Amino acid sequence: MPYIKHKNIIRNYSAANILKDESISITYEELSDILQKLHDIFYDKDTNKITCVALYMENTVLHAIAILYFLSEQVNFYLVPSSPQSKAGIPEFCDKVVKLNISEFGPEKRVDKTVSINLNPLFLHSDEIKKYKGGFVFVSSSGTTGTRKIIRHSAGNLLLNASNCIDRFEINNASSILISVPINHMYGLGVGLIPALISGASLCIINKSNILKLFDAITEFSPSITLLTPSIIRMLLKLKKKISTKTSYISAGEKLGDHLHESFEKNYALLLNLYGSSELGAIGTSPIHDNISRYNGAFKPLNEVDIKIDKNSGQILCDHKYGAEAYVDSFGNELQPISSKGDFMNTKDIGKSDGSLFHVLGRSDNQVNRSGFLVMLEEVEMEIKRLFPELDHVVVFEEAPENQILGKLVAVCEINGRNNLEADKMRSICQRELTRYLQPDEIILTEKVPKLHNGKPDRNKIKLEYSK
Amino acid sequence: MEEHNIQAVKLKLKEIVLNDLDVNIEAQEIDDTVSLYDDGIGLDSIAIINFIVLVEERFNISFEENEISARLFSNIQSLGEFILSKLTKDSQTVN
Repeated sequence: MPYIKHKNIIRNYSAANILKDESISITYEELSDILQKLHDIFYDKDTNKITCVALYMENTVLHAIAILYFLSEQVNFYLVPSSPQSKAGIPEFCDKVVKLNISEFGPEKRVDKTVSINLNPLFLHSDEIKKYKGGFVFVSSSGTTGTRKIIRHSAGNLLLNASNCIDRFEINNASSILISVPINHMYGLGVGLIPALISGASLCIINKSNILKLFDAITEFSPSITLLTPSIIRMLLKLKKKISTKTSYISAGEKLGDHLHESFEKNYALLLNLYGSSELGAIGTSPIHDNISRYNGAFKPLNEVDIKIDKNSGQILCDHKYGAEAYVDSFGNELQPISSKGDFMNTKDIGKSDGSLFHVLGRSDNQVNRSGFLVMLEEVEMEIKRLFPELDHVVVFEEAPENQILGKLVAVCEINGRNNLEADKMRSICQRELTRYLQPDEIILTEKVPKLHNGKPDRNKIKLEYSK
Repeated sequence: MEEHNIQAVKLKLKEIVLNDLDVNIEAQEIDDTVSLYDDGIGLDSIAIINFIVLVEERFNISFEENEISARLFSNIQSLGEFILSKLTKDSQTVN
């Protein structure tokens, strides 16, 4: 009897549509066979007795199929980050640890040789975790601070969150999705992988992505949608090449900047900005098909998402029907609820409304008072990048005042081999071009800024390193 | 003559990797067939971009979109052969 439970998730696929990575290419028709083999392995281990699987993640088709299997079987699972810099271990609420040895899969599709299941020696069957009967997905996020948070989603809401993306990006079984970002994070998982699987779309996943593999995949796979990050976009712009394929691009992560957005669309193709979080999934996108300029950076909330801006603090509050349930600790104890229907969650971003749209101005903990003006540090960073578009990363912080009344705004700029920039000259240009409260008091040029394992600049470390 | 040129091309490529990219490797670690990224020299995407830009500048060539590929840039040997063929083709076109 072929495995069929995944058909509760996959709506309508074309049998010939493929799921591929660098080593494997299988059709949706062949998917049942692989899922059956996975089921034979896990059934042997008695899936009913699994508390929670910790799945070591890589960006491969087999890892994607494992995720599909756990969703179909309503098994609780935690996605262990693939980044080598991530020091977080396996949470104590996971009893099983699963690794997939892709090199063993081979043309014979030896799932039995590929999958290894071990017990977690630190597993603690706490009262809290006993409540998790099934159907929960745990993801790890470091966000902008670098501190691990474990976020609990219900599988049902995760699938509905993905359905929202399907509707917004018009994904169907004629689509082909290219994912160059990690599928263990909400972006790759919730915006790329799960929507592709639900829709029965063709899927291509790049492991250990680099710019060359991306070019290869775009040329050979010819995607209709490609998931990128602002870092990749900046790199593509540096190359000054045109790609003639018809893919649309989705970008999520830190703000890109209107001038970069415009340059990218001129050289490549349609670029859709996505605003979201590990907690809430996809929240809004740049307007599609609306007669509104994309270049002003506004976002349109997804269906079933309500946004309001707090009048006093300017913070973006979001009522998301399909957000995560809670932060939990490594024992599964609930630390803090995240979202529930009808409640507006504070995203900790500052924004402003724009009719039915909204803008994201920056993190609420990233603002300072400059001569009576509340200045977003991200705004200063954007302005510096606008004046010096060759810079990859700019991080601005306020240096605590010693004998001064006001703190000093320090801009740390990553030059990455570019020797034609001089801090004094850059400061003069900023003084000439920017309003007073946006001018940095000091500019520091450095080869590379410290980064988090997700690629974002590590603001805490930067402030520590460059404060006097 | 062609053998001399391929050696010159490969040497120039190695000099770019050693002197101009932010990689922490010794000259003896770059042989002709070691991978430029992944488990070889380990150039990340930023280094690869800088490498492509520098190669275009130093050799006075331009890569087409379909020429920026993992296979072509897999190691010094494959890239060197390709650059030599491009240089030879360009000089034939000029002549």
